[in-house]
Amino acid sequence: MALTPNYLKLFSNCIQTKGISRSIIVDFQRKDIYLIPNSFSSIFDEKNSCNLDETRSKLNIEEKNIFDEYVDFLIENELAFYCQKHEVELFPKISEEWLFPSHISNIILDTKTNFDYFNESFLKQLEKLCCNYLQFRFFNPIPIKELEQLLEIIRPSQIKSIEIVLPENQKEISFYELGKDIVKRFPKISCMVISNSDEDNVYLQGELGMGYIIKQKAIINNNIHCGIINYNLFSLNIRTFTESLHHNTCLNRKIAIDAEGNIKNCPSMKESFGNIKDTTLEEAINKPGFKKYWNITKDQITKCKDCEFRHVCTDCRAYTDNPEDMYAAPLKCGYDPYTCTWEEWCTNPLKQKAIDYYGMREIMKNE
Amino acid sequence: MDNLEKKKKELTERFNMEKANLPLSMPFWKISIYNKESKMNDKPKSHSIKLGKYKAELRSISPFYKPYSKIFLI
Repeated sequence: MALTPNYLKLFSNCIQTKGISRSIIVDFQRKDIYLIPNSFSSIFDEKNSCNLDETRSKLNIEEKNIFDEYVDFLIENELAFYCQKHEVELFPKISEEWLFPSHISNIILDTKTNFDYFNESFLKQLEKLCCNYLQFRFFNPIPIKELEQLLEIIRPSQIKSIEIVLPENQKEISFYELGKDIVKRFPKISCMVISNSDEDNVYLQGELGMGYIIKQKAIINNNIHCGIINYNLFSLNIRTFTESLHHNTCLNRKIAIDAEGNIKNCPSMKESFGNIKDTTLEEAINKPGFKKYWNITKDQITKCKDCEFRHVCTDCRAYTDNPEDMYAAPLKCGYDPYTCTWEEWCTNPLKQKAIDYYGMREIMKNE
Repeated sequence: MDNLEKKKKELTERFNMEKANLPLSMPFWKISIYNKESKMNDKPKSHSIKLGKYKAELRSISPFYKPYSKIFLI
C-alpha cells in the first residue's frame, strides 16, 4: 500500500534566505525570487523539509487555510515537492562551498586617457594570478582604433571575458557602427556600455550574456558613479550565493587599477597598494591589508544582515553610510529591509553627511 | 505617437495587468524594442575563441558571474 506523502521538501536549487521582516526563496535554476512570510519560512527544518501533518496539527482552521495556500503556492511554482519522511534524505542540500580557480577572479581598469601599461607583460601578470575576467572603464572619449589595439592584445590571451564602459565619442564618425563591428569581431566582449548617449537602450542584442552594446544617457566620467545597489544588479546564481555566505561579493578576489595607476581593491577605495609603474599586481596582493575586506560577509554588515536579498545582492565598501565603519551599509542602497520598501537613497536624510563626505552632491545633480 | 512608443505602452499596460504572475523585478523593467538583423548580414564569426597558451580554445564564452562594478544599470 502506498503511503500518503506527508512531507514537503524544497527543491535543492530553491534556497531560502530569512530577513528581519520577510523571507525569500530563490529558484537558482529559473533565476526567480519569491517572497514568503517569515512565519512560513520557519516551518522548514535544517534539511529544508516540513512535516505537514505535524505542522497542521498545531494550527487553527484559519491558520491551516493560509498554510495550505502557501503550500499550494510552492507546489504550483515548483519550488517544493511532496515526499515521505525517508525520502527527505535522498535530496541533500546543494553544497555551500565556494570555490574559484584563481588567485584573482576579476580586474577593473580605469583610465582618463589610455592604458599605456596594458601590454603583453601586463597580461602575463594577470595570467600568473589566473585572472580571466576584465572590465575597462574609460572616463573620456577614445578613438575606436585605440580600443581595437587593446582588444588585439587580448585576443590570443587567456582572458575569457571583457566588459567595456566608455563614453560616446562624438568626434568619431559612425561611432556606433564601429562599436558594433568591434563587438562582432571580438567575441570575448560580453558587454560594451556607451555612456553620455542620447538614450537608454539596448543597441546591439547579444546572446547568452555575450556581445551586447548598451546605450546609457548617464554621464560616467568618474569612479564616484560606482557603488549602485539595485534590484537589477542582483546575481541569481549559485556561485554568487555561495560566495556571499563566506566572502564579500564585491571585493573578494578583485583587483583594480585606478585612473592614476594606483593598485587598489576597487578604484573607488582610498588605500593604494602601489602604482602599476613600479609595483606588480602580485606584489600588491601580498601587501598587508590587501585582503582585509575579502571576508566581510553580508551577515556582518549593518542593515544588510537583516535584508532578505543579502545573498543575491552585491556590496560596496567604498561608499558607505558611515565612512569610519568598515561594516556600515552601502551608501547607494535605497532598500529598507525593516519596511520592505525601495526608496531613493540620495534623498534619505540619514545619508546626507556621507554624501557630503564623499563629495557626491555635484554628481547626483547630473544623475 | 509612433509605432514603437505605442508598442511600449501596450507592453507596459499588459505587464501591469499581469503583475501578480510576473517576477518581482517587473516594476524595474525597462522596455526596449529592437530589430534583430538578419544573420545573413552578420560577418562570419570565428568558430573558436583562443585562450592563450596550451592551444586552449573555447566554442563559446560566458560573462563573469556577477557585476564587476556597479557603475551602470542594465
